[in-house]
Amino acid sequence: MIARRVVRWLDDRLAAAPFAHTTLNRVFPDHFSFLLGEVALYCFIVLLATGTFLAMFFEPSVSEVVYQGSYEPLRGVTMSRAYASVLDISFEVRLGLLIRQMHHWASLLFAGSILLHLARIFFTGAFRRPREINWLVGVGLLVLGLFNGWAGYLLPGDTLHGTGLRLGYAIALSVPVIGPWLVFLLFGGEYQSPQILSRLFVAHVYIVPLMILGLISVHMAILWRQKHTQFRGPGRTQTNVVGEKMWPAYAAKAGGLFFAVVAVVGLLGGLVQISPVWLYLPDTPAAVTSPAQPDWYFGWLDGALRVFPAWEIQAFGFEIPAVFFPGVLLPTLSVLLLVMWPFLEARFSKDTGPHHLLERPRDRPLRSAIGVGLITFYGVLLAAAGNDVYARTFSVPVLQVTNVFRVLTLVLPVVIGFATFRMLRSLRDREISRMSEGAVAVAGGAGSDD
Amino acid sequence: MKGGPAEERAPRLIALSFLVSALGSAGLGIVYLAGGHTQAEGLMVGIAFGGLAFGLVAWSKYLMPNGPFVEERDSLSSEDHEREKVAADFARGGRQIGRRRFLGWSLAAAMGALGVAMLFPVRSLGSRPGRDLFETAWADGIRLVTSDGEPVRADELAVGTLLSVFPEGRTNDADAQAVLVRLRIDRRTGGRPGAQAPEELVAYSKICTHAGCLVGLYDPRSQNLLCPCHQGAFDAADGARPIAGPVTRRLPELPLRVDGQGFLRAAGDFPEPVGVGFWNRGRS
Amino acid sequence: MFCRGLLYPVWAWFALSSLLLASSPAHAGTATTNQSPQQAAQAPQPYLRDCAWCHGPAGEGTNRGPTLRDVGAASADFNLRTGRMPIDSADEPPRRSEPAYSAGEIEQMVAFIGSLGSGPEIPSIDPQRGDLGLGAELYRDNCAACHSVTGVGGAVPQGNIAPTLVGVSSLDVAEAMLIGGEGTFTGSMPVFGPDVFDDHEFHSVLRYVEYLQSPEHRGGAPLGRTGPVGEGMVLLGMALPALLLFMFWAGSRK
Repeated sequence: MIARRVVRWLDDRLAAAPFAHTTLNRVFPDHFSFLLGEVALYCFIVLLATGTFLAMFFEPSVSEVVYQGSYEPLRGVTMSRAYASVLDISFEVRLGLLIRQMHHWASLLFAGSILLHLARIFFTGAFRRPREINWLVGVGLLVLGLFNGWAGYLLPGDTLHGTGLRLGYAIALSVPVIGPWLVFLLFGGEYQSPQILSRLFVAHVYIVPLMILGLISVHMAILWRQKHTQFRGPGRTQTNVVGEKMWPAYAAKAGGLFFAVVAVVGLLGGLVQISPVWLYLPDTPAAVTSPAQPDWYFGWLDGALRVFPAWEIQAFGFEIPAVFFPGVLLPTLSVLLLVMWPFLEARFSKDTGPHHLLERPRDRPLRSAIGVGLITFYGVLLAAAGNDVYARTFSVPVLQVTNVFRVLTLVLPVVIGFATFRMLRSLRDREISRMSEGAVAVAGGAGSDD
Repeated sequence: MKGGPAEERAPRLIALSFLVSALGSAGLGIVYLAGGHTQAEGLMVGIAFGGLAFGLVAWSKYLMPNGPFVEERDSLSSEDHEREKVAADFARGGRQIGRRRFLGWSLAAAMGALGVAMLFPVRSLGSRPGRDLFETAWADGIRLVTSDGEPVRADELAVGTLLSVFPEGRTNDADAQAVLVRLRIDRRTGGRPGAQAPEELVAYSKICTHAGCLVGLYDPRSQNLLCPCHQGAFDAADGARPIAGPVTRRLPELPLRVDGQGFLRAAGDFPEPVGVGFWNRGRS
Repeated sequence: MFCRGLLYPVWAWFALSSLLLASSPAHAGTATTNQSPQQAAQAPQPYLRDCAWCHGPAGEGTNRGPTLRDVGAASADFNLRTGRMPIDSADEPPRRSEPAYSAGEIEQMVAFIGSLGSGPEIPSIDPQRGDLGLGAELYRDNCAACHSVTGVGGAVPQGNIAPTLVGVSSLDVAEAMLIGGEGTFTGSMPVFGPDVFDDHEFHSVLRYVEYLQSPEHRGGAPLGRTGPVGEGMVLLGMALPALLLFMFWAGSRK
């Protein structure tokens, strides 16, 4: 009764009934791996909500204050207002520590779900025409998400995360020709500029989230317009979508998944300590801690910095410092590779038609092998970021550990990629020969559409 | 539609799930009012949301119509004649500009100029690098002090000690900070001795020349300075020459001297830019 | 579909990771113990029996071990009480283990070695005299670089380890600070004697290290104080697989 009156009221003003009708009956393919993008979206929502709460209490100021709060070991210690406000959130504000830890855990989960989602898109060929634009939007979301994670975790100003700011400075400075200018523009001066904290705060809380929101909207609008892809199967063709209807089944499932993401983040936020900045102590210009690692999604970059040899280019008084290669070149090439992939593959495979049916990894052994090889490459670098932790745990000299990782970085991706290629190709060939021996009419042969 | 044991049990389990969720929410309220406790709060959030999660998904999976439903896709390529219509629409407007070329060019010039002007606020964000990257606050005669402002006497440092030192009056200076070490005199093999300072006292910039972390670890036996970020190592007895890790350049050495009262003073600024490398570092 | 085959590996990964992460020691790098050397029989001169072989009958040193002149009672006390001496093998750096001697025997030997020249005495300490906040700052500025700001120790490049400070008594810490690396024989630790810390500062550091024995962990499981490394493992080993399993259940696998 009420529903009908509401619908009529809205429709009289928006003429929305036809739209609502199509929306409620919209069909979504329901493979579990299609939920990964949603998980990323829900993580972002959690980040927005918890972040808003935190922003009400956090003071992005480097002015010094003498702490007199309830955490006894730091009473009487001089620290930045930023750090003191994080202590207050953790110890004085009820639910403050939970929400702070939920925010940080959600950022780790955000990066993880984006990367898993990207892997799913890659291995199933969902980036092919007509979805290249959405792929590019997704790469943009990945880069923005990673940047915002970095900007966020160094806001408290503790010794561990202060290292992240130093590294950002060094990496930006190492860019040829424009490095010093770029850094002075961004930082407002040399490393210790007092403005950098408030700038990072504005970027973290306002600029980047707005950009992410905008890109997410584009991402979903395109998805809406093009309809989701689906795997081959009985009754599934290039020109239809088979699955669940939005209302009620899919909406309930999506809602349930949202609550599940919040539940996981909530459990982590309460039960597993993350970023205990009171133990890391307030950062000062001369403070050092070891070991020092970034959050996991930057492990590959940190590992690259540790593993890359001491090579520098110097000529005529100009130089390209060693940090440039793993710190600027590697990430830039990585993003470029991601951006170019759909177009490279279309050119290489001479396949420019539209695709709405997904492939399985074995349908494209070469693409899958390259993907697995790349994952191995970044995975080894990620593992290499803990080289000093392994050295301490196993009492092995850290130089030896580093050399092992140098070898692994070069060898393991090739070996595993090659093995993956052989395995997938033989899986595919066996399947083809089995099918050609059997009945002729098979819904969708491997490697072709329709 | 489904039948069977799942469908019969499901409604009860789903309702139970929602009930558990409600208990979790109530529990969160109780924990909050009792003063809060992070682990209990997290557990209650997990239960409150988890109950809803399981209930909703189970409801969707076992009780709601899952189809499979089929929907047709529209072709994403429009008909040729529709595309031609759009091209014609643009062309009609474009003829306006085409006929008045001059207006078009002047518009382009105005937009271009405006675009450049819009960059000026960005320029206000920062200053010219100038000499900042090449100089620090050290100069001849400035006393070395520790982080609490106490000056350092040349004769009070034991062998194997490492001290973080700053220019007097600037104990928060990020790029002037240095480490002062007393070497075993028989192990000093290279580097430039400070003017009129004991040979076994050396001070180096604390900023690692690789990626800017602070070189705060010292191994008195090997007399190596070590950086914790990427495991770079420097030989303090040989001008802080890099000996391990991804470091390419030594730490700049601060020239030292001893004043009349026995305190250590700098004998000048660092002879080369401190910290990480940058494009024109070699052209001061 | 291939996806069905993913279910069991994800369950296995989740179960294995959870087990490993849950069973990790509460503090990473808890002091390791070697097999304890055989208990010396109650002999009147344990030094002559066990130590003279390397250090000489009068502590003058031999080609197998350094002289003990001027190392000080603090050094002897530290090495004997923490079981670093007698050393198992001259090729390895000494490691903390069960002491090989009774308290009385240690006292005898410390008195003897302390009498050889002039080195640091056993300090009399009272950590409560120190100021916790000052100790935190001094610890951060002097100790955190090697021992980690959370006290769990770290790798010192060139092959050494700065050991964990968790499970270490205040007397051990005080003695180690006074004798430095040469005394603890890993060679990597600077001396933090009276020319670096005055009495109040010294005790403040001791008080903060004492606090680090069981610091504030109200955020939850401390993951061995490994920081982002442990947190990353929890995410990749438990959180993501758990969500994946939920997604398996929620979605279809066809």
